[in-house]
Amino acid sequence: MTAATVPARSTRRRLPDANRWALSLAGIGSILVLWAIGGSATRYVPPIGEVLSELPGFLASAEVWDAAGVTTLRVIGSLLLAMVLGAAAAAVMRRDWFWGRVMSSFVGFAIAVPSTVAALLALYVFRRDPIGVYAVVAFICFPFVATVLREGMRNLDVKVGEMGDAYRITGTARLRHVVLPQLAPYGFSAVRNEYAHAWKIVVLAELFIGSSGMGWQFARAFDRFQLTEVVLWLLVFVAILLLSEYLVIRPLERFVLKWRVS
Amino acid sequence: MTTNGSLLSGEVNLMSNAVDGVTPPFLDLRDIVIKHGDRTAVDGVDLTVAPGEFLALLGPSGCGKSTLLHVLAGLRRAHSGELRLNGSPAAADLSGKLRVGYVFQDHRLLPWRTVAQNITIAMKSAGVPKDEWDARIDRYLGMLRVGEYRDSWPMRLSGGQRQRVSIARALAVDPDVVLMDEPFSGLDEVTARAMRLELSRLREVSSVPTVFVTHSIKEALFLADRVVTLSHGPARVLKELSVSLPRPRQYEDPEFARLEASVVADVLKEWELTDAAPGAPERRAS
Amino acid sequence: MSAAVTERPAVSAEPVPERPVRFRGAARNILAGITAAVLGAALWELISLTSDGWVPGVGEIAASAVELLGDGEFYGDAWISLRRVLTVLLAATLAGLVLGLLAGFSSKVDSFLRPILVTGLAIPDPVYIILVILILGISETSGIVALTIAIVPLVANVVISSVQARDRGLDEMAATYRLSHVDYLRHVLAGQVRPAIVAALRTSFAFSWKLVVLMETMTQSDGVGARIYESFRFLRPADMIAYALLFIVLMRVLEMLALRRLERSTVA
Ligand SMILES: Nc1ncnc2c1ncn2[C@@H]1O[C@H](COP(=O)(O)OP(=O)(O)OP(=O)(O)O)[C@@H](O)[C@H]1O
Ligand SMILES: [Mg+2]
Repeated sequence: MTAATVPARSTRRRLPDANRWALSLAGIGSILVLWAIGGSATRYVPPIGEVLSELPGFLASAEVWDAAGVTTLRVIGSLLLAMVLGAAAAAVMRRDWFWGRVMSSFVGFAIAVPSTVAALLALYVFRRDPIGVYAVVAFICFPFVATVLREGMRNLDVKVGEMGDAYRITGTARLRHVVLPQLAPYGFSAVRNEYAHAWKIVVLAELFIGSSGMGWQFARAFDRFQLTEVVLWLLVFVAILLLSEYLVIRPLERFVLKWRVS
Repeated sequence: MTTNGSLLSGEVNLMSNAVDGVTPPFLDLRDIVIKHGDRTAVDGVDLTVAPGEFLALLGPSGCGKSTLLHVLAGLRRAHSGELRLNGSPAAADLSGKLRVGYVFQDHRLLPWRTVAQNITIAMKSAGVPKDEWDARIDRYLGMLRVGEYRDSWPMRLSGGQRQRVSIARALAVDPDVVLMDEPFSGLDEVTARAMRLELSRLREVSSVPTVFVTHSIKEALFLADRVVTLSHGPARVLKELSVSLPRPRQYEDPEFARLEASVVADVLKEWELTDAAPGAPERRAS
Repeated sequence: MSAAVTERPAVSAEPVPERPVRFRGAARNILAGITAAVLGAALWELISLTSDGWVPGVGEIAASAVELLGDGEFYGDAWISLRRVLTVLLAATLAGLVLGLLAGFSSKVDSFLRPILVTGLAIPDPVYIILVILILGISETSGIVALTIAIVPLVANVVISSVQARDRGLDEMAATYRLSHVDYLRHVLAGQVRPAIVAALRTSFAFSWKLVVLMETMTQSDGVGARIYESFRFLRPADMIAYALLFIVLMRVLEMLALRRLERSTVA
């Protein structure tokens, strides 16, 4: 990539940090206010106080951590599967004209399949086997990965490639130093989007298919009308998603893409 | 054609392009034709590069200079013609036969690898022994006065510094030939002057044959042992000129100015006339 | 001694993908489509054969689809679902566009909205549906409200990045030439925001109809989603798949007709 094609960081004037934090806190505050209003206005939404008082006990139970662990594993496993499938599909679409067309019809079709339908189908094929959850999530996520990665491959810099040819950088060195670094930003964008997506699909899939995991627990709590528990599960879910975004994905991305100069 | 440059420099007859009977030229191109699809970009060029020679290819924009360099670098095949390497025929193309140091118009450093890593990757691919890497990096970065940026990201350097690193990379691979494609045209005039001076100093240390593409007459005369002038595209050789001015050369030197005037007189008519000619749309290669 | 260079096509550094001439291109396009369909059907048949009878074969599904189309059962539900999709699409696009534009241009709004959007994105779609039903009761409106809330963060995010990626150099140009607000909006901004609008439409379309199916599955008694779930419960997999396939095809055609055209006209 040359200087001109490296996406520059936003040069926009930034608010002072303190102000930004204050506004962000106000944003979080407004969610809580909404919740409080909802809690007092209807009898179905459990009030904040009740949920918070049950939170420690909820977090102390091994069952909760088991379910969270099972689901996390499924998310990561099926996301890996989706990344591999998506990368392969993107490579085919990029490499060969005819099979690329064939592949892009598949991808276009797969992207249009509602996750509900995929989950119900998986029930027929895999019964209640958790493999079905992996299949559903990977199937729903891979076309998105393929689309993003194809875009990345399309934007591979010809000039840098020419340099690689002139210096005969070939094989794995070519892949490591010339090709993959150019795909990395796209890979991250795919991982970041599909990670969140995968979590949502996993919950849905477990809701229909599972006999374990957070989605299933969700559904069970709801069926028994234990709404406080529903909200507690929701809190755990949101917390996991936000923590992994801010503690794992973003730092990793910053590390890998540190060559981009502010 | 005017020949008022002959007092200062020996003019080489186009037809007898032998350098001096005994040692065969390092590179010998005869009647090379290169095409982009159906369009001819280079139309029968004869060219020699003597061992250790610094050759400047001078031609108007779009005439096919970069295309010719691509063939020399083995990035592209010639459509027809003869290529000889040290006197023996090289088949259709040069890929794999020459170790090339290439300096592009833009730096083409990998922005995601540090300066030192960029050079290392090229050296490794060129088969330079591992135990020499460090010393070479230091040596060439030092020679080009960018030693302190060894571990920086390329995008943190100025345009001139990046181009210095790019030249260091080209020299560090221990090349058989260095190819430079308008390496200073993206720089401001002051930086470009400094870089030219640097490059001509480097010639005192290393004598790798070098083909330097430019459309600046001044630059060609300042740097080269020999200047080959090309026509507008599709390129043909118009004229060859040995430059025997003493080094370091100076733009203000009256002899330099006279030589420049004579080259300008030679090419002006050709380039101007033909640049406006129909059917010669100007498009940048890369 | 000389080695003449044999006539060979020039190889450029980066192989340019072969571009067939137009006529052959169209033919190959159709051929590729047919190949994809045949391969897909074969793959499906394989799955159907290896499963123990629960997964219907291609023939069964086709028969079922023909029947649905023939006795007109499909059209009513498709129309109901389509109406819901369009309502959600419109509501989510408008809301997402307004929020996205505000946040894209003002870093204050951005800071305020960011945590709300991030949380909104992290909540699973069924939860929205459940919560809104708890609050508003089961009705057509509550489903649509839930889906709109679920989709707005997605749309807003796309719009925000599109606005923030606008060319700041042009902003500076507009400032130096003292363009009036109206001229700035018309000439500088409109051109740059239009892709954001298209992106917003695409995103909300893609998600709205997939979520409408989910919502109908969970809460409604009519619409394609409800039919899909009904067929599932009454163990009529061929019907279920036929409903899904027909609706997918309908949606793809709509997308191609409407969105592609829109995109082309704005890109040009
Ligand atoms: N990849 C390509 N495909 C088709 N035509 C090309 C390609 N690259 C270059 N050309 C054409 O070949 C001719 C020579 O191009 P080339 O890049 O070699 O010119 P140049 O002498 O290097 O010009 P400049 O001084 O502007 O860099 C031009 O007419 C150009 O349009
Ligand atoms: Mg060029």
